Amino acid sequence: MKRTLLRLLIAGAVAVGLLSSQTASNAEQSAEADAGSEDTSWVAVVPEHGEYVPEGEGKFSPQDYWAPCGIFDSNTKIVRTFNRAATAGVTPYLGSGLSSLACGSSQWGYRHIVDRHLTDWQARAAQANENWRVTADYGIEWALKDPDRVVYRSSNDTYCFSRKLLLINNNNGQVVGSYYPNVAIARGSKNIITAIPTSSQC
Amino acid sequence: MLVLLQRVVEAAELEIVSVADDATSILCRSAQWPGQHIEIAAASEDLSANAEMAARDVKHLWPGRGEEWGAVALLSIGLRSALDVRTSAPMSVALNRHGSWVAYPPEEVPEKVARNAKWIARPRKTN
Repeated sequence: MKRTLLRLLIAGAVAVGLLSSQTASNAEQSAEADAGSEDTSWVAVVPEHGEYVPEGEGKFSPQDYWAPCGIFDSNTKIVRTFNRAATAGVTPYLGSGLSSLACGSSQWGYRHIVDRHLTDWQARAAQANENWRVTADYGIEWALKDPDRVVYRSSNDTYCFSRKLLLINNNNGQVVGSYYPNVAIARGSKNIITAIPTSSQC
Repeated sequence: MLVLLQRVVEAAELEIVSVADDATSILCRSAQWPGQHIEIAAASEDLSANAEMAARDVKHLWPGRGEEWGAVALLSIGLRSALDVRTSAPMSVALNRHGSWVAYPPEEVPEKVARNAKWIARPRKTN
């Protein structure tokens, strides 16, 4: 009697297990089918904090995908990762890849930019009625992925990437201002040391 | 300490014109403003405290390189940035206790020029 009861319990457990895995599988298939159809998804896929955002998918603002840097966060925590072009014609050559803006410290990274260059970025952002992160994100992105100029500085083993950006009046299409985001990265780690809005290239 | 300040100024690619006797300031020239002299100043205690802090970050930026070299590199990048953001030559740039290079005189913030404007990277012309 005891043996029969035990067999029944085991059989029941196996059946429940099979059923639940079937349900999960159906749910996954359903989710995949939903993902394939653009009209059926109600869920916006927001990039993970610090995740590289491919060109053309910038429908979220940096406030959504720049990871926060709290006082207890490690200085190596990634805020945002940018695509970087190869340094053609510059010695030593640096291949294309990714460069990260980490939380850093008062000397480098996000904390350095906020400590030392926030007012510089805010001034440029104010010219276009933007949040400073939007202006900085766009400037750093373009300087790194399609620079006008890259300079290697052997004295501090850094590359400086620079790109001219134009302030366009949306009403008449006229150019009403310009600046150069200059981004310095360390050759060793490829991490961003600083990013500043300037009136001249590196 | 003067040696450290001198190394920072040289790493920032500034041309040294003269060095003050009190070992806390250096008169130099920048390629941005060739005709102008700029005084770079740092109190010895502020410079050494900031160099110590910067040394801790070297392993995250240049793995395998010496802390002292990295501290000079980081301080020089900060000094270079303080000059690069300006549109006119400063008279002086001084390191404060918080590690900021503060340029004097301060510059005017650019005016907002258009109500409805946007920063864009204009596509390159192709042949």
